[in-house]
Amino acid sequence: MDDFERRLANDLRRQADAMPRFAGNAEVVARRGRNRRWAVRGAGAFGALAILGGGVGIIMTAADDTPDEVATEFATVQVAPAPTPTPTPTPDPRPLVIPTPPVPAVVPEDPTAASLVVATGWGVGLVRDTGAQYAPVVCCQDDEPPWWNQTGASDTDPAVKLDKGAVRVRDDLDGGLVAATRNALYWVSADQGLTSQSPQLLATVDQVNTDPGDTETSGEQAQPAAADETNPSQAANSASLQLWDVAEVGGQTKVLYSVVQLDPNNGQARTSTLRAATLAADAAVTEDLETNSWDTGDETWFSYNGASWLPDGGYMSLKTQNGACGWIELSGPQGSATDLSAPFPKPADGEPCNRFIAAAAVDDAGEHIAVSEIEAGIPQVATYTLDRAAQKTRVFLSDSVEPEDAGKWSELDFGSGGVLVGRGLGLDPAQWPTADETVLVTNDSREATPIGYIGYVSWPRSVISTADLEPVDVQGPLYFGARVFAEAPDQPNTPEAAEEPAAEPPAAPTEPGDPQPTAGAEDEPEDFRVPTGAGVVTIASDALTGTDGCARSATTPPDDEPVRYRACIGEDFANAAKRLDAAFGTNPDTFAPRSDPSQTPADTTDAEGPDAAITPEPQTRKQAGTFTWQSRTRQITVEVQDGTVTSVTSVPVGALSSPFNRDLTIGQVLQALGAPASIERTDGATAAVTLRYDTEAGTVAYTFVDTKTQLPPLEGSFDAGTAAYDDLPIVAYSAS
Amino acid sequence: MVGDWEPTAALVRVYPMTTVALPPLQLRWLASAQPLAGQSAVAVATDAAFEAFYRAESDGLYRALSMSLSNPELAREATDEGFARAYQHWRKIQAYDNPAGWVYRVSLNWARSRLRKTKREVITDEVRDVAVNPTANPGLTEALAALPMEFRSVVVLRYLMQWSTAEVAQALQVPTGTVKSRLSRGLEQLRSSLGEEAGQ
Repeated sequence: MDDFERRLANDLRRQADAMPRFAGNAEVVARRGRNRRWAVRGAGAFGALAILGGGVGIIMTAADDTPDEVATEFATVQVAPAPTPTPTPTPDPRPLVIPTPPVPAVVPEDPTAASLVVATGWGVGLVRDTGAQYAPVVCCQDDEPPWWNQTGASDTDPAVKLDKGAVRVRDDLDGGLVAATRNALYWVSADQGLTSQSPQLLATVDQVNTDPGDTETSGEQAQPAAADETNPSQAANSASLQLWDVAEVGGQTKVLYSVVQLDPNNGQARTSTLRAATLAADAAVTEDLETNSWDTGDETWFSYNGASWLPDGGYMSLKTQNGACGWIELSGPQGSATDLSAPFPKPADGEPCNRFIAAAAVDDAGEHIAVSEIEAGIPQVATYTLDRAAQKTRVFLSDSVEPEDAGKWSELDFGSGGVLVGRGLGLDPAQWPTADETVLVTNDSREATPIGYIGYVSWPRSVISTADLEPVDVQGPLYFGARVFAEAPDQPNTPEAAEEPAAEPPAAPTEPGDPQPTAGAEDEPEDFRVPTGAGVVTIASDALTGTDGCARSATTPPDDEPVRYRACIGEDFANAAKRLDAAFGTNPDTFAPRSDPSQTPADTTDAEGPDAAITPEPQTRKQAGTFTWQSRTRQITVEVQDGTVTSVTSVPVGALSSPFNRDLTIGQVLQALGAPASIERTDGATAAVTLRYDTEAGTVAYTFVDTKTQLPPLEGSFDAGTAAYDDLPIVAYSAS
Repeated sequence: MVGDWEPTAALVRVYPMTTVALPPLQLRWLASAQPLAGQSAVAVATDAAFEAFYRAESDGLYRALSMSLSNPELAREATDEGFARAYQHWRKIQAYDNPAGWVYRVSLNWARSRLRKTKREVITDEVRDVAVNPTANPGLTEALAALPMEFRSVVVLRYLMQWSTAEVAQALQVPTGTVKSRLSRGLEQLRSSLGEEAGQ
């Protein structure tokens, strides 16, 4: 350390000494940490009801706050469970079953409501119910024992022992969950519900035809079996199963996976099989797509390093030769026997093969492929326009990065609108991308514990340097996946918008009971889900009624631009309508606001897929009247006089409107949670709580029942009119 | 990189609960003779160890983050966030060589993400009320703030926190060579900004 460095150290120390001491305290911090484990039981416009162990609390959410953050600060009603004679560990971190839908006052427990796997990761799976809330179903995090769903399963008696670190859950299966261990493939369908007995065994490694003499096998059928007594982990360690893709292909849900049988003598692949499983309501059919084998001792072997379904029923396979060289093959639909051109064909005999394809993904339209390639030790990410006439346009998403980072780009996928989203650990809540950012998340799969890296790129081309790739909270809590939202509405001509076919407006007006047109998730501004340490909750809406007379998106802070939609009092209606059209998925050219809110379907929770933007019959643009835009969770109503906006109301569907500010009373909170008079949340396993808001008396009465202990209910009330959410009393529950 | 992060037994820092006097009122959840309802003795001990760690490191980390971010308010939030996450995984983190390094990195990443999220990415251009000691080098705050974030972090950790190069590398999850490189370039810029000659 030279003199300058010594003086620098001294100056820094003096500077630090002049700073005020840190004002935090450990209790608050610990409470924040603990509250990450709260299970959110229902979410409304401004908050959510949460239960932790035997406690219950109200979590207030601000515009861009994450529930876990807010929970720590604004948890208001907390009921501690009664002491029990048996030692009680720290509060059960596993969230309780999250009921359907978030808005209605009474939410029944419905384990069959799960419909969509929404998160990926090693050892983590989430299933979304029809109310757009989530329940974790698989957990093998850290040193916790693996378990499968909290409904009836326990640490000591899990129905399925999933290999730690080997669980893969894909997020594009509408109707259930497919997870794989090293030796087995499981399926939980939505129809079956999430119970401890529900996982069905789709396949095990020993079900695969491993006869080296076979080069093509198809049509093998395997009936799924209940997984309760099956122990596929006993299968030979010389085989491994890898789940690559789950997608809707030709109207069927199909799983793409591979099984590699290794030679126990040298650990090299002896048989490599790409398989498909077609999921049906009561059965699943598996078949071999490709089988390749080698004699023991052969120097050349390959295995699959990735595979994806193509929209036409074909598939892309990523193959690696001897674990090093790699190439991509595109195959036509079964029966076509057509090998299609791919960016990187298999090298001809005698040609050097110094390229390794770490990951590849095809977009939903089958028009682009993203490739993470490592050529001569230099990894880079590029996208290609897939033209089956062999025309390939290469677009680099990254310049080369340092060789030491090779392997980071191990998982790629196309997200909404053609943007790249990496699968894997996903994002920390604080890393959540804003609307106009495209996020690339990668995994460093070289490590025993995969590490997520995050970088921001702008489509279609941007340079990513390693400096832009930050470890995503290594060793941190669970991460539940990345989500990229639509571009800001005032940037409609984004490349993905140009490249992806736009959603066509419906040809006819919708009627109650008719299937609602479903816009892509990228069209939905409300569909914000924020991970917490315990699960994923929905902040019911991103839109708040601002005090400035504007309704605006909460994807960015109120003082930030651009916003995703906005309508302000005094604004020219044409401008506001254009933005709202874009944000809500209606066609600006046809301009189709509803003038009658009664046309709103009473129950949109049954809509399939992502939130459904509703586009009514096109009508003539008016200069006066009431115009309403609505998606499944948010309704914005604009009053217009003489072409000028005179009133803006933005409300969550099914809930009362309440201006957002931090002076909300608990009564307003309850209103915002979705019920004017009462809220009831029941969890069959642990607790039930009823909050009743008496609008006349201005009080909130609560009844808490611990269904485990069957102790007498705890009842009480507080003044809803004076108690602000951030200074409500803590209510202690004691058996005495 | 990550392999380095695994705890080494000989270097594990221990934050024993017995070395800390717990204020009974502020830390009711720790100091109560009997565990709170639903709280086991193990949980109490875990909390106590966390409390010791918090007391030992929070202030220093907050100041380091304040300087690294040039934003005390954000640093305060980030410190809270980092410790909250540390609490969640305390059983594991307390066994690390330098748990404070983990908290620093998590806090810094959180702060940067928050800035990015709110589109206020101009970290280095905003110097927000960082207290200036009149006895210190008056240009230091500005010179430090002018450094790129990655340089600033390394300088702060190395010279304010007095962490070794290896500890800094471990905390930031970058190779040691990268730390040295950033340190060298950061010092070079600081020298230039402060009108110092190299090697002076």
